[in-house]
Amino acid sequence: MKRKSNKQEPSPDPEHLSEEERMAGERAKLLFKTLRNEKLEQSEKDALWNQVEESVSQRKQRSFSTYWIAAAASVALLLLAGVGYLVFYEDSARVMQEVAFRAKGGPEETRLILADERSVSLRKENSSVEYKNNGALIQIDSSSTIGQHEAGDQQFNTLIVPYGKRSVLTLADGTRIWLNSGSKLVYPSNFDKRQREVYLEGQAFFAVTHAEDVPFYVHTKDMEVKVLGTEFDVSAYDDDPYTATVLTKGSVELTTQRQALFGSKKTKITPGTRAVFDQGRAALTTEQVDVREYVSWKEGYLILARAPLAEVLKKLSRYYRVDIELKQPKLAGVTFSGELHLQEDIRDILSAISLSTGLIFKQPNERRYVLEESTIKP
Amino acid sequence: MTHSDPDHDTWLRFISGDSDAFSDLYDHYADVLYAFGMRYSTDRDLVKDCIHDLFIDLHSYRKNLAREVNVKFYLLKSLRRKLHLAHRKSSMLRFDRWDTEDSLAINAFTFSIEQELITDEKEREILHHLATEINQLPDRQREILYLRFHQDLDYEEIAALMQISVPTCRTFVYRALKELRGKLEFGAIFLIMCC
Repeated sequence: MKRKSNKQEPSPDPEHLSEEERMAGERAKLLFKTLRNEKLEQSEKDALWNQVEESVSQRKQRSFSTYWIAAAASVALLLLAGVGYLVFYEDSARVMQEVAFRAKGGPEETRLILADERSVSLRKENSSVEYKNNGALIQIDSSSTIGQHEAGDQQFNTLIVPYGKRSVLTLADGTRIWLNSGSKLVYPSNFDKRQREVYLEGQAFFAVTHAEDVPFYVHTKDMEVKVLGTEFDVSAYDDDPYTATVLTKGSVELTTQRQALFGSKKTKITPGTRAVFDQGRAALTTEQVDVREYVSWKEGYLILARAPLAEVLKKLSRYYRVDIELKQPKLAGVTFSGELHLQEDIRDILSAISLSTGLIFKQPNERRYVLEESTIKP
Repeated sequence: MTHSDPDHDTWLRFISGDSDAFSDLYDHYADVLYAFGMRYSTDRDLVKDCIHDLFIDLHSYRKNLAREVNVKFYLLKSLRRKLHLAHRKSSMLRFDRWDTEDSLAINAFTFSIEQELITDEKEREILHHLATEINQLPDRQREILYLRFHQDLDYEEIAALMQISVPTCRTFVYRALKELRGKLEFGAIFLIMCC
C-alpha cells in the first residue's frame, strides 16, 4: 500500500521528526513486523465459513451473542414482570377463584350467596335465577323476588349447584347460563363497563348476549374463555383431569395456563370444536365433535356415542347425586351409545345401560349402585 | 491509492453477486480479521462471532457496498466496530466494569524479536526495551502504532477507523514516537549503567 504524502502541519509530520524520533519510528516499525498474531486453525476457519454459509442461506442476520443478550434481557424482564404481576396484581379472576373456594353450599339444595352474604336456598331440582332491572332485582324460580343492594366494586355473587340439581341463571345483560350438577359460578353483582367476567367450577353452558366492546370471560382453574357473544359449554370439574370447552356458535378465544407466566397460550376455536386442556400433560388439544353430545345435558338428556362407561357413570352420579360403582374395573372401557333421558329414574337409566352392555346392577342402599358382569351368560 | 490489486477485483465481483468471490473474500481475509480481532479481545468465540456477523452483513448489504474502497481497511474497520459494539454490550451487562467509558482497548503486544536477524547485541537490547515501552503507552497511541506499522494503514484510514481527525491521528503518532524516544534515552542510560 502506498503511503500518503504528508503536507500540512510540519511538527507532527514524520518527515520533520528529529533523528531520535525517526529512529524510534524505524525501530517500532521493525518491532511491529515481528508481532505474533493469533492464528485461526484451518478447521476453525472452515467451521466458521460453514456457519456463515448456513446463516446466509437462512437469511439470519443476528449474531449468536446478540441473541444471547437479547434472550437474557427478555428473560430478566419477563421474570420481573411476572413476579410483579404475581405479587402486586390481584386480578378479578384470582379474586373470584378465592370467593369460589370460600363459598360452601349444602349437599341438598342449590344456594345463591349474595355480595352482602345473604344466602338463598333454591329447593327445586331445576332452579332458575334471573337478574332484572340491571341487577337490582333477583327473581328466583319465577315465584319469589329479592332485592339486591347497590354494591360497590368487586362484589360477587355465587351460585352453588350440588350434585343432583341444575340451575339456569339469567344475568342482567341477558346472558343465560345453565349450570350442571356439582358446579359453582362466581360472578360480579354488577358487571364492569369494560368486561364481563365469571369464574366457573364444574360444568355450564353459556349463551352470552353479544356486546361488541364488552368481552365476556369465563375463568376456570386452568383455562380462560373469551367471547363477545356466542354459545358454548365449559366443563371444569375438580375431579376431572381436564378442562374442556365445546363451541356451538360464533368463536371463542381460549387462554390456557394463564398463571404459568411462560406457558400462557391463546387458541381460537370455531363451532363444532371441542378444546381439551389436559392437566397432566399441560397441553391443549382440539377435535371436531358432534356438539350435541356435550350440550344436550342442559335439555335434560344425554346423547352418547361410543362413550366409555366410566365417563357415563360419572355424569350420571353427578346428575343424580348417587354413587355408582363398577365392580370389574375392566368394564370402564366398555362403550355405550344412545340417548339417556335424565327426567327418568336413575334405576330405569341404569337398567337401560345394563341391558345394552350385558351387565347387571344392584342397589345396596338408597344412594349407591353397583354395576357388574352378569353371571348368566347369554 | 490504486485498485488494480486482485483483492479489489474479488471485491467488485462480490458486489456484483458472484458467490465464489464471497468465499474467496472469506478465505483471504478470515485469518487477517481473526488476528486483528484478537488484538482487542481475548475471547476467541466472540471474535469469531463478530467475523461471522461481518460476513453476513457484507452478504446482505453487498448491493450497497462502496466499490472504490481499500478492502482490507474496510473489513478491519467494520470488524472493529462490531467488536466495539459487542464489548459495549457485555460491559453494560457487567456492572463491575461500567466505568471503562466503553472504550475498546487494544491488548498488550507480544513481539518476537528473536525472529529478526539482529546481530548487534545492543540493538537487540534496545528493541527489547522499546517493546516494553510500547506496551506502556496509552491504549490509543499503541493502537495507532499498530495500525500504522503492522497493518500499513495510512493516516486517513487510521483516523476513519478510530473515529478521530487526521491531524489528531498524526499528533498521536508524533507524540508516541516522542515518548518512545524520551524513554529510550533513559533506557539507554539505564543500560549503560547496568553494563
